[in-house]
Amino acid sequence: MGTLTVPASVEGMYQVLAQIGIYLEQEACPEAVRRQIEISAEELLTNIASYAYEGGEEGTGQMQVTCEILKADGPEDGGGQKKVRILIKDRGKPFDPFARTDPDIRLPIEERPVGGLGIYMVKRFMDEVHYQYEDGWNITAIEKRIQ
Amino acid sequence: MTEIKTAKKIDAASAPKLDARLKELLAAGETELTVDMEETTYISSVGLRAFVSAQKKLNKTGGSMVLTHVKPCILEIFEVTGFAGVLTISED
Repeated sequence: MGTLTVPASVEGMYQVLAQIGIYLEQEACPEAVRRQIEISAEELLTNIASYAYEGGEEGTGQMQVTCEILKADGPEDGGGQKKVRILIKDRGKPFDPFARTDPDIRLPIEERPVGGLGIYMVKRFMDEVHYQYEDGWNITAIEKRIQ
Repeated sequence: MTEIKTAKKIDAASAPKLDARLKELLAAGETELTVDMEETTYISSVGLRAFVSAQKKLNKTGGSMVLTHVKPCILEIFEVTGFAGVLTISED
């Protein structure tokens, strides 16, 4: 798919999600995996669209998204396996989306916090999640093996 | 009893509509909701929160909400997030 740079907004997010969907379909990525990747990308991009540039001048923030298919390289992956990797960059406030403690999903519904659910889904659906802050960039990466 | 149908994708764009519809029905005093999810193959956290918020209100009033025709891919998401046990999912 290459790299797309879009405004950090819900509209920008949909532009990216549509392109990820088309790309993964072209690459014959199984539907179940595609869905989990799209949901994970939506959760991460929603956070950036909502909070990364909060307080800044409206419409100035951008997000940069790369989606690619790589050879899975771990010995446990066996031969010829592939993985999808999505790299998301923004220049908003430093924020590690994965730092938060997972919500306790065994709590009764009345006591369960509503926040953190989206990122929890990302962690459960993806094989690997990474975050780093470098030279003013939030860099978030997620990876999922294609079975 | 009111039955509503959910969209193919319950995402950041469509979830607010679902949330508004559920709130409207509950505000009107509806206590028996059926949600037909036959079309739905995608739900993100904002959609899950709409269901949870409706379920919490119904728990207080003694009402009920039944999700029907839930596809396996959606059931998996309810299970992963721990909502399979707190929402009423009809086995069909």
